[in-house]
Amino acid sequence: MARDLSRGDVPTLILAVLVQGPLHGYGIARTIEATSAQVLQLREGSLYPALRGLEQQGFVESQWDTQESGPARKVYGITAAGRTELARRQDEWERYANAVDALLQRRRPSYDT
Amino acid sequence: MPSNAIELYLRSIGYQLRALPADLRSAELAELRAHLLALAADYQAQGMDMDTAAKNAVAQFGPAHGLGRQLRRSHQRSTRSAAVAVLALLGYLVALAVVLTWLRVTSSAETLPLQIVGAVLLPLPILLLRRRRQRRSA
Repeated sequence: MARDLSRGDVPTLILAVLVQGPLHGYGIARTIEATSAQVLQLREGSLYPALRGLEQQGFVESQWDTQESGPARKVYGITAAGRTELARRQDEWERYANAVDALLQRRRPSYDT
Repeated sequence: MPSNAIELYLRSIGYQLRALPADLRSAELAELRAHLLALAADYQAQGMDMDTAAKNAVAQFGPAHGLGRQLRRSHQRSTRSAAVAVLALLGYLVALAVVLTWLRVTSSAETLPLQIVGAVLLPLPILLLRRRRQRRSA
């Protein structure tokens, strides 16, 4: 079942994609779509305000990449500070996911009866 | 050939960004255009005609007004941060000048160098703590 991404999740997913290597916005969207097996649905325009925020915080940097054919594309790469920030967000997510999982497992027996 | 749907969409976003310098606004729109055209090309590869592909690409991007507003705010935050940093630096330099003048008048020759170093370095722990809090709230 597809799930719309909340705006707050987008920066974290961008960092998780860029840690694999530099990409432009279209590439980031395709990677999120493919890696999540199309479960995570993204309004692709929302990538750009998130990328601006990540650049302002120093977690991501960008440069224009001219191509032989087609328009120039802006390519984003993660910085060292971005890698540290991603690790912090991964820890936070794991704590959150474990807490929700624990609650869901506790409620399961009452649904079975 | 650029699609009408994509150009209309970008025009709406461009209007939201009208306060930006022209080169920055052009760069923003060029980036969005490249993404939209790539999306439309994907839809055309699935057999859609150009106009339908462009409309689907625009729909997948989300409402123009909302995106334009978010982009405008992100640039305003950047401008505000730069202005705050400049004012903070000016404030620090003025405060430092006042403190150093006072120290020069009131301190002995032996302790003055240490007191000057202390006055210069005093804001450092506050700046480091502030930076740490900003990263946590990001």
